[in-house]
Amino acid sequence: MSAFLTGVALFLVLNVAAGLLRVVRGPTQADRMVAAQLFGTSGVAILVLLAEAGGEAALRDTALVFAILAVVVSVAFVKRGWVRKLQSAPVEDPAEGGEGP
Amino acid sequence: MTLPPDLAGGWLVSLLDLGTGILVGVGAFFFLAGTVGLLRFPDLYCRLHALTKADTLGLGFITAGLVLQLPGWNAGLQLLLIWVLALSAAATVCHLLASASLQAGIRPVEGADEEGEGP
Amino acid sequence: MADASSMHGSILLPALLLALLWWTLAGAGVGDWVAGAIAIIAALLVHRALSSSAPSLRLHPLGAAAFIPWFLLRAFQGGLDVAIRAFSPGLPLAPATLHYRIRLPEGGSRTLFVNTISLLPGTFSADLSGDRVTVHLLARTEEAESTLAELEGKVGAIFGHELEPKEAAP
Repeated sequence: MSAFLTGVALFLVLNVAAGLLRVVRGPTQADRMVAAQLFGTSGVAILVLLAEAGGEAALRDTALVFAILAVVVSVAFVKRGWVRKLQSAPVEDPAEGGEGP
Repeated sequence: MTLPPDLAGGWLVSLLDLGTGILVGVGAFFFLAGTVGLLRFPDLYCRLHALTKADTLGLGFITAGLVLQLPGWNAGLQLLLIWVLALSAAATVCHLLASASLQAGIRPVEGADEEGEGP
Repeated sequence: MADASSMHGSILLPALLLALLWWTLAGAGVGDWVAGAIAIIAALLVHRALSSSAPSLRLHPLGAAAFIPWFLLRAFQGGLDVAIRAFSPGLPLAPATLHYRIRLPEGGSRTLFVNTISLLPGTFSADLSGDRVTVHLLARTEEAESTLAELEGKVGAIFGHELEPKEAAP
């Protein structure tokens, strides 16, 4: 069972790696933040899987902290980085995603 | 999957293992769906749908699968707490990012894309 | 417990919930409970200080019990809906936004409503100003508005709010 759970955790790591493509492509800072959100949820899942696979209960506590911090990261982003940056220099490409029609 | 000898006990253990395998597998599938949506969906707002719903559901399935393996109520409640926190985190973050982006002037793509099912 | 307006009623339930939370996080060792008692008393003092300024929440157990399975089913449908759209070669999306007038009063019920919109199939709350919430739809559907009204009714039932019937489209 623990080999299976470790395998799923590895799959989720690859999943996060694929999500990095969205960080590269953007096009806006908010898109990159959405990708960062993927890392947060996946990170929680990876930690609970490894906690069970390795019998390491402390990793579950770490997952709990991850889940709480996910909100803090986005609040900080919205309050400081994003809004303030746009107020001083509104240069981001509007709507057009790289592949939209 | 192969069970180590100390785990391959009675039928109940293998039944629980089967349940864990299925639930965790379904959870991993939803994580994959979330990433595919994140990469394929046309704009920021659609991508937010993909992550908020698919990944949160994936985490729900994975925690549900792991609960079957746990020895006591204590750790099970902890997993439930993790999921509820992740749920509220996902909803809050989704709303924050969307409203900040709308206020920053990023307009959502509207209408049917290619062969959409709209009117 | 909801109607016991005495001191006991207002302290006992939070204390029990905090004890459950402590047990979840720290386990049930005797030494843990010494630290736990201190943490719980501290949390109760903070709770008292904060709740004196906010109206108390009266939760209706029946409404909450009806809400949870409905919500879990909807969250499952929401994830499945995204998965099907993401894997479809044609990418069947028809994004749209709609404005919805909230009937729930300000406070906890409205917060829960706006947050759960984001976990229903195909909708999330994108903006909130006054009693108007802007909802982003992954695909425009006929029933989006009525689903929101249904959710609002369920959330209202948890907090014991009766909602006026929804009038025709504004």
